Amino acid sequence: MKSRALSRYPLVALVLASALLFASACAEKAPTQLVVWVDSDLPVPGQLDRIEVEVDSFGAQPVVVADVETQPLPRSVALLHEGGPLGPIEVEVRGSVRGSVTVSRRARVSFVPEEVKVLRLSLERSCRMLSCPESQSCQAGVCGSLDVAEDDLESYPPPDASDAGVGDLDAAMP
Amino acid sequence: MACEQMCAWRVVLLRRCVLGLCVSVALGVTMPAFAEAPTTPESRVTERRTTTAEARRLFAEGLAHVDAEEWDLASEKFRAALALKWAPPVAYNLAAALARSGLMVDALALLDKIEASPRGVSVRLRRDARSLRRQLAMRVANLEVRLEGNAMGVQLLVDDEVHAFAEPRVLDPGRHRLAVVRDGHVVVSRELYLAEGGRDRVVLSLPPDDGQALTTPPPSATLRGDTGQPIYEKWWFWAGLGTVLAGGAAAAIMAGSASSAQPVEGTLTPGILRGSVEP
Repeated sequence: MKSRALSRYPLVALVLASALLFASACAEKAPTQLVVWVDSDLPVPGQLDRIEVEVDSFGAQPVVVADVETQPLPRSVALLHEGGPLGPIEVEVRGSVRGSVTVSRRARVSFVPEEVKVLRLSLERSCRMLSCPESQSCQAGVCGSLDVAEDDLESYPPPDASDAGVGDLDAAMP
Repeated sequence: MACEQMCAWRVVLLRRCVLGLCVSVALGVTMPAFAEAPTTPESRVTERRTTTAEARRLFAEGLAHVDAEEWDLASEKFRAALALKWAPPVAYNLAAALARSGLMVDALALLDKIEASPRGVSVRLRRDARSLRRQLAMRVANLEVRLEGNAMGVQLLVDDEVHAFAEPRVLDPGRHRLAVVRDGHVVVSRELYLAEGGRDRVVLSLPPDDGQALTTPPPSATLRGDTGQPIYEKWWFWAGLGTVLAGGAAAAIMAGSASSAQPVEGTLTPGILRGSVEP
């Protein structure tokens, strides 16, 4: 009986260690993330059938491409900051129809430490076929600054979030 | 900058073109010398200006056809403009118009040329060209042709153009005609329809001939096992896939239960981009 109990000690230790690890994991810092939230008022697929999200100066896979016919907008991609400065990074969303880019939107933004923020980038009808200078981007039909201040970023999830725009809303909440 | 201001608000479907052409003109990108080149510097300048003006006129006409979604006519005008004066933005527009006409292979060749251009390509244009290239590369069809029988002295024609047997070829989606010719005579022909992004393999059986039998090159593009059996029919493929999936699922479950600070995931694929900001 005694030897049997002793034989369980390693198991108990293992369970305790696991519990400690689990507890430390639970106390882990909140992730530093930026959710790029893409929406559009353009009709799909007549004037928009594909979107591309490109992130400059961030990791090895900077481009995400999606067919918006199969799954409607809004769509989102989350950027997870894993090191280095908090920014700035440049995010560009391009909308195309039948292979030609017809509208784009860019933003220069920084991560907010240990917070999940939402960067809304809308592909607007009013910006379709409008070319802005390199340092600007179109919003509401007008070329303006690329910079998006921290105050202009929404907290996650955005108020109008639905399952269409967020992968798993409940599970994903930090 | 003046050119940029002048051109920035021009509303065109393929909007970078005007800026690009203006930049090209502003930079004084020279055209190739003519066969009957004028001899004096003044006449050369005049000739150059005339040619530039003509290229711009053709380009503007091309844009008008783009606005009307007349892709073939637009391509024709852009081609004519490019024949007078090479300008990457015009080439980009031509590539986009060709793609709309279904001529994706030609469009890809142009985009490659833009990529290789040492000058006259802005960062933005280069990025757009790469983006279009990626899209087209996914849409073109890949075809591998193998011959069975005596292939001595035969040629393969795809849409009446000679092609090598060995390599898989990239073709525009749509209808194509294959023909095998020996001594100027078609010995086998076949029509086929290639789907967008499809990978097809065609085996053409040649009629018997008294010449030396020639085996066709081994398939290089199709993913196949050693015995010619498709890889997805191999037991180890499914075993490996099952192991990877099971391992992935287990890792996902463990990762999910280990931390409450799970990162948010988007609805695009991939849902998360992980990275470090480059200083």
